Amino acid sequence: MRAFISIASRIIVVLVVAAAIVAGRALFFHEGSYQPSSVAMPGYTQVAVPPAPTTEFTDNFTKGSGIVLVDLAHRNRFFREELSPLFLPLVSRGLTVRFLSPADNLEKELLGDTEEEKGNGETPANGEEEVALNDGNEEEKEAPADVFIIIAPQEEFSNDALKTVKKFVDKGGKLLLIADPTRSGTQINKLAMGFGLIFESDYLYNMIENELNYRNVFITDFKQNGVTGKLKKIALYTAGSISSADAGIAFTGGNTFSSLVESRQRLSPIALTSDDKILAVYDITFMTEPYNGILDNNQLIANIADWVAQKGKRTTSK
Amino acid sequence: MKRFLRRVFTSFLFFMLVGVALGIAVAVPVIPRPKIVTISISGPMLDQAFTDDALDTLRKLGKDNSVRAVVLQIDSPGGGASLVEPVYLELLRLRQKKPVIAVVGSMAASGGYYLAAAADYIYAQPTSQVGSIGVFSGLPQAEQLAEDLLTSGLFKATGGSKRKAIEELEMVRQEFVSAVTLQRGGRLTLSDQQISLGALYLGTDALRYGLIDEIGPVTVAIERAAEMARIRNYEVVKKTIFQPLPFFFFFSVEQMKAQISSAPGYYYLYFESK
Repeated sequence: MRAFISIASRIIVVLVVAAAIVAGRALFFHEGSYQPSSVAMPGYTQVAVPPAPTTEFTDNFTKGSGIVLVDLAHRNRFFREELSPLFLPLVSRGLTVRFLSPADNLEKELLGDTEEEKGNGETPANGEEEVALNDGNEEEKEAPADVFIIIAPQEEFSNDALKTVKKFVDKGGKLLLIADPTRSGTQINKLAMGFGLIFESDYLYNMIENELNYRNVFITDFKQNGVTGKLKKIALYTAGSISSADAGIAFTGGNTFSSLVESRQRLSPIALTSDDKILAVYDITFMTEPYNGILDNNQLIANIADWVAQKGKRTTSK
Repeated sequence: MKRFLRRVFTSFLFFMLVGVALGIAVAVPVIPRPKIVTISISGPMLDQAFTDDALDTLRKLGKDNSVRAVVLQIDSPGGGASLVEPVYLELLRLRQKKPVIAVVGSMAASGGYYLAAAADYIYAQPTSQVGSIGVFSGLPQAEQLAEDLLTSGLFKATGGSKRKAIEELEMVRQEFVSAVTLQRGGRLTLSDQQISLGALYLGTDALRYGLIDEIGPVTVAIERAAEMARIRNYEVVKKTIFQPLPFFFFFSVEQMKAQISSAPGYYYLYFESK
């Protein structure tokens, strides 16, 4: 019995000392135990985007005639093919679309032959001749343009060219000015400012209501006229704002801002001068596939084509 | 009597020493000296080797009982989305076992902040740059048709339409914002729209908006980690995740376009828009 107690007590001593060592070490390194808080693991099923708001559209138009000159003489930053949603309605309306190359005579294309040239029967030498869309008859080929379309020029218009364009407008010609903030280097303001329009160096954005991206803004506020007729809602894709005295015809809403100016204001990416001669549009993308099919974009393009097709009254004196 | 007492004392001492030896033999492996591991993530995360190394390191740290807390030192403008996301998810798994603290050095932008958001607590310096929550990607270009190269489907060569690419960009944006709001929770004072602006904030501003929790250097972060893990007299071990590009390597717009065309995808990356 004494032996048993002796052995038991020794074992107890060993265990107690060992336990003390273990406990001492634990207390030396630990103040307590860590209880991890619950970690929210992400679920990926709730991520979704709305479907594309495409709209069925039928282009109803009246066929007419006229000549549209499209500027390709100033390193214009666009491809003809990408703007087929714009050019096709023009051609459908019976318009002849000509392209101005750098070697062409702008004055002749916009204002026609001088009396002397007509009398002499001379045809001023041209450079390489651009092939026109809907190649009209001989008379149309020689006739000056009714509408001049300038899209994202990367070169400034010279002073002489500016004078020619001004004269063209004074005589009843119409201008369609198109730019896009993503086509950087565009030199359109020297021309536009002569008609009271400024294409600002900004883009419009809306963080709350947009067409899948903050740079794709909706426009629902329109001043009623031919260009905005039948429009309820359009989507513009990285559009810019055009400043003018009062030429704006489409306006941004409360949550759409300009990248240039942080304060809230009513901005206009589409403008039409009061004499109905200059139409300015500050987005190209909405006129390209597939963006033209979104909301009322095709209707806007058709309205622009109708505006182009409506010829202004031309005065004949030079 | 004296001899008896001496015998008892010697026997007692002997078994005490046995107890000490046994105690040490058991205590040292069972209660190792606790470690806090600091992991340095520096530079753009654009290499699969980075993700592989990060996942391997984090898994080992999760299994190692001697590691009681992890401190992430982040100095990164972000990286490829599919390279950042697995590391984020692994950090969340690690956080289920032990505290994870993030410390921002000069920058935790985009993917860098994505990883920081996975932590229990975030420190930054007063002039750290934090945020740039957002994603970018290139849009598919028109397919180049060739007579002698056929694909089996409309989108085989492009991956999808431009519309689909924009939809996916929006979905990835939502995922990023959700990843941040899920982990930061009520600490954030910014709305989803404000977060989506993708702004970079100074450390002091980031504190005000709840993007980080406190201003402080890595030494404070280590103490915080120890406090959360309830340890003392710990060892600090440093590890670095494989990073082929240095921290100061910033991308310009042209470099990003080249990067996207050589490795199309989505990027949680801050770059200088020059």
